Formats: sequence, structure tokens, C-alpha cells
Amino acid sequence: MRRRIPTLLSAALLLTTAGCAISEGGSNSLVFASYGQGAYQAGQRAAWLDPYEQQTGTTVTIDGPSSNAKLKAMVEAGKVTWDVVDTDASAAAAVCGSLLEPVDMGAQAAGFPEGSLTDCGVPDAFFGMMLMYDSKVYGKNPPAKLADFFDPKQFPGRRIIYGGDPSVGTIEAALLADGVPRDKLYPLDMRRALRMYDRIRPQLSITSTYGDQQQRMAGGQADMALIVSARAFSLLKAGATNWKVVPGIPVPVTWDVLVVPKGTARAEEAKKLIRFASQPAQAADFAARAGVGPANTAAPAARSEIGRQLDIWGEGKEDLRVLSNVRYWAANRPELVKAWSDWTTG
Amino acid sequence: MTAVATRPPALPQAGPGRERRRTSWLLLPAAAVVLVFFFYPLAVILWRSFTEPSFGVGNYLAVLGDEVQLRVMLRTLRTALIITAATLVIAYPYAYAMTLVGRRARSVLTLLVLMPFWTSLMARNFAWYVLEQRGGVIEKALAAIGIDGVVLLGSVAGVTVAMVQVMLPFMVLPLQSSMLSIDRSLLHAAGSLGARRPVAFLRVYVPLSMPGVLAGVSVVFIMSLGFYITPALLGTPQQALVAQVIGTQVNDLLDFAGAGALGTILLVVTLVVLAVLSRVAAPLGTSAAGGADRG
Repeated sequence: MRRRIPTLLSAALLLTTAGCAISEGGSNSLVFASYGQGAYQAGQRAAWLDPYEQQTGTTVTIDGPSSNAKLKAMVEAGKVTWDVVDTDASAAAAVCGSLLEPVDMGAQAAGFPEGSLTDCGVPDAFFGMMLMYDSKVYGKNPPAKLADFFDPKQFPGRRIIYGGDPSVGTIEAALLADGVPRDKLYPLDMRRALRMYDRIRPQLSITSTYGDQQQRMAGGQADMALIVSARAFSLLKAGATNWKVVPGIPVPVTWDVLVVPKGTARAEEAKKLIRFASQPAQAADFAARAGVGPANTAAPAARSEIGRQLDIWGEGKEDLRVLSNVRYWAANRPELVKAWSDWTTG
Repeated sequence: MTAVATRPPALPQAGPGRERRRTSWLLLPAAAVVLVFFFYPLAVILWRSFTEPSFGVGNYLAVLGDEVQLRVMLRTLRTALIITAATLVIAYPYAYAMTLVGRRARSVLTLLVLMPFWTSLMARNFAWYVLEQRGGVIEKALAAIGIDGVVLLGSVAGVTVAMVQVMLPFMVLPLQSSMLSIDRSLLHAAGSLGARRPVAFLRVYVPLSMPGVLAGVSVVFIMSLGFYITPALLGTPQQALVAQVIGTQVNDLLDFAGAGALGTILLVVTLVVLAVLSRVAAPLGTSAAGGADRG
């Protein structure tokens, strides 16, 4: 019997450490889940979290990377350690009410681009799906329209896209290239979009992360790309100036949202932070730092040279930007993502 | 698992029953860890795969009826098989050489094979990334000898090369420890009975090294089946393996139950492979499945 005591002790020790692994901050602190080191998260820290800490005395800790799967696991397990999460709009709209708290923006709701605010997701960053090419490769005859990306005869060369999540404008870009009018995009004709990608399959590299796509473009592993503007911004900022944005073509637009997971003890405080970040000055400051479109229509347009190339809100852009229908995506996400991942892995 | 390669000499044991009772509590901490961190989550995954969205085998039928998922499963098995074969071909002569050289040379060889263990997996993957990319060392070296345009990055070949390097220690170590226990005078005996050296090697040495081969093969094959990081980084979704498809199901579809079903099928395939290998290994007096010989 005496011999059993060490065993019990070690087992008990194990169980307690397992239970304590998840620490929870005090009431005067918040945990903000973002996407890890880079201009994006650094911009959020400088434009929102630091001023918010100064103004309210609440400590905001950054955790990450943000993950919808982790968020789901936390909410289901009843151990929610994230208070505000930055995630993509359509995924958030799909789990509104089940995994996420509704966020009431009151009078501030009028400041967001039309149709972008949903019950649980407060837009914080807008991205354009940009067509870019390597000017060293194409010289005097660069691609000039979306259809050129899908035309390997006229425009030979290796293409690269991000393939992890098709809801970032990947499908819309193919349909627009095939001549679908912008107001007839939804419901999406997935098969038609995939037929477009079939045309360039031999030339196409698909990456499972944005970082990998950016890395391969910078390293000369591709000649043409469909890439979200935030990554294009990092690419150009890092000095890959041989990459040019094709101007004056339709740009599918998607956005990220701030959400509050169901079950956090600090939901009200979390919503306060979201309302703070959504003010015009904060939105503009973050947008300029991260190279994304501001989430507030009252925010002034981008001023930097790179920012202007990637701008989706400036004058003359209203006929080019094509905002994603997040409600459609939210309702049909499983089928669409499945069809896309079958095509990419098949 | 690597420790099972050689069969411990059968020691005479006094009262094995009582001995076992007296020492079994030593296993309890390990059992607790496995119970809490492996069996409990596994049970949850299994439960969810059979109960969400409705009770039954719907998730399993969905996987088995899905042409793409089956293709990915076959691709995974084929890739794991190729990796295992390539690792064995490289590791066998290497391990054999380790048994022949002096003590100092053996330390150097061990050091070389253990190197991957001491470098971060990510650092190694990025090193392969740089080597395999367009304009990288591999393409340039092959171009220099007249083979143009070989870009391994983003291909199954590229993933295989990198994974073979990761897996080498898991093959070399059991092989070497198995080979060290082979009595080399048996080869001389074979020679004195008229066998030429290659024949003696093939008919005497190779069969005696089979326990090590089986241990190495089972560890490498099974680890290759579930590899995630290397294929995700060096491959592309176009050649995705099962682990990446599970990743997509969890991260992008939030389909925990479907991912659980796919994971369970992978686990069953793994167990079947293990069972077959232990069957093969049984007559050799060892268990490749990782279970130690019981006294």
C-alpha cells in the first residue's frame, strides 16, 4: 500500500498541472488574438491597443495566431481565453450566434462600407485581390486585365495563388475574368470558376499560407500572381519592386472582422475595445501602418506611394471594387470550400 | 520504439509474476500521461466522429465515398512507402559501415545521423526550401551535369527528399543496434562452409539484421503517414497528404467530426500496417510493433 503513494502523487501532480495550463487574466486586462509578427499585428498594437491602454488603463495582451478552429475549440470547451479575435468576415458570419457574441455598434454602424457590418463581425481591415506581375519577365507586354491571368498562350509564365481559403476573392476573380458581370456574381458558379483555373493548372502553384506566397514571389518562383493587398504591401515594402500591380481592373474585395467569442467573461470590455478601434482616426492609422483598406469610410485615403497602388477606396475606384457577399459565403461555405479543396488536392 | 531493435538476452528470471507486481507501479506516471493526453482526446475525437452532426457512421461513409479523399489516402500510403524504401536503401549500408569502423569513426557517424535531431524542424525545412527552389543549389548542380530544369520545390519528389533526411535517424539507429548484436564469426563460418562473401552476407547477415530492418521500417512508415509540416511547407496543396487534408477540414471548414473520421481511418490503416509487420516479425523473435519481448 505504501508503494502506491508516489504513484498517486505523481498522477495528481500531472492532473493539476494540466488543469492550470490555461491561465486567465484579471478583469482589468484583455486578450487580443491577431495574426502574429508583421506589419498587420504591429499596426494594431500601435494604432489601437497602445492608445486604448493609455486611455482606459486596461492591459491588452496579444495572442495568436488567430484560428477559427482554436476559437471553436475554446468556446465548446467553455475555456475562452481570447476576448477579441481578428478573423475573416465570412467565417465569422457563419458562426454568428453559435460561437460569437453579437456586437452592437450603435451610431458607429453608419461608418462602415455598405453591407460589410454583420451582427457579430465588425470590419477592421479591407483587402483587394490584386493581379500582379514580374516586370522583369513581361517587359513591354505586361498583363493588363484579369483574363490575362487565365490565358497561358498569350501570357506564358508561372502563376501563383494562395489556396488555403477560397473566400478571399479567388473565385470572384476567375468569374470576373470570364466575363461575369459584377452584379451577377452571386450565387457563385463554382464550376465555371474552376474551369477557368483548369486552363492554367499546369502553370499554377498553390500555396497554403500567404507567407509562402509572398516568399515565393520575392524569390522569383513565380511570374504572375493573384495576391491580397496586405501581402502585396509587405512584398513591395520589402523591396520586391519588380512586382507591379495591374491598374484599372476589377478588384474583388474581402475584409477581416473583429469578433467576441461566446463565453468570455469580459465581453463588454471587449466590445468597448472594438468600438474604440472602429473610430475614423484609429481605423486610418492602422490602415496606413498595415497597408490595408481602412474600415471606416470617413478615414482619409492612403497617401504612401505603395499604398496608392493598392488602394481600393480612392477616387475612381468605386466602379472597380467588387465587395464580397459575406452572407452568401457564410451560408454556403462548406460546399464552396470543399469544392475548392477537392480541386486543389485532386 | 527504437529500443526494441535487438532482442535482450533472455535472463533467467526468478519469480517473474511477483517481480512484475512489485514493479508495475513504475508504469503509472507514464500510463497517466497517455491516459490524459492521448486516450482521452482520442476518445473525444472518436465520439464526435460518430455523433456529429447526427449519430451514425455518416462521416465515415462520406470519407469512403469521396473520390478525392481516397486518392489522397492512396497518395499518402504511396509516399510513405517510397520514403521508407529510400530511407532503408540509404540507411542500411550506412548502419553496416557503422558496425565496421573504429570507435571514433563510429561516434562521428552517429553524430552525423543525429544532427537532424538537434536542428529545429522549421530551420531544416527552410533549408530544404532554399536548396530546392528555382535557381537553388539543387537545380544549379543538376544543370551543371546537364540535367536542366529540375525544381523540386512544390513536388512530391521534393517532399520525399526532405522527409528521407528527417527519417534517417529512425532507420539508422535500430539497424545499427541490431547489426551490432550480430556475431560476425558467423560470416566466417559461412565462408569456411564454402559460401562466397556476397552469398554469406545475403544468406546469413541480412536475415539476422531483419529485426532492425522491421523496427526501422515500421517506425519510418508510420511516422511518414502522419507527417504534416514538411509536406505543407515544401509541397503544394496539389499533392496534399492526409494530414494536410485533415488540417483543411479543421481550420477552414471547422468540421471537427469529419476530420476525426479521416484521422480515425488513418489510425486504423496505421494499426493494420503495425499488425502486419508484427506478424512478419514474430518468427524473427522480435516484435516490430514496439512491444518489448516479455520475459
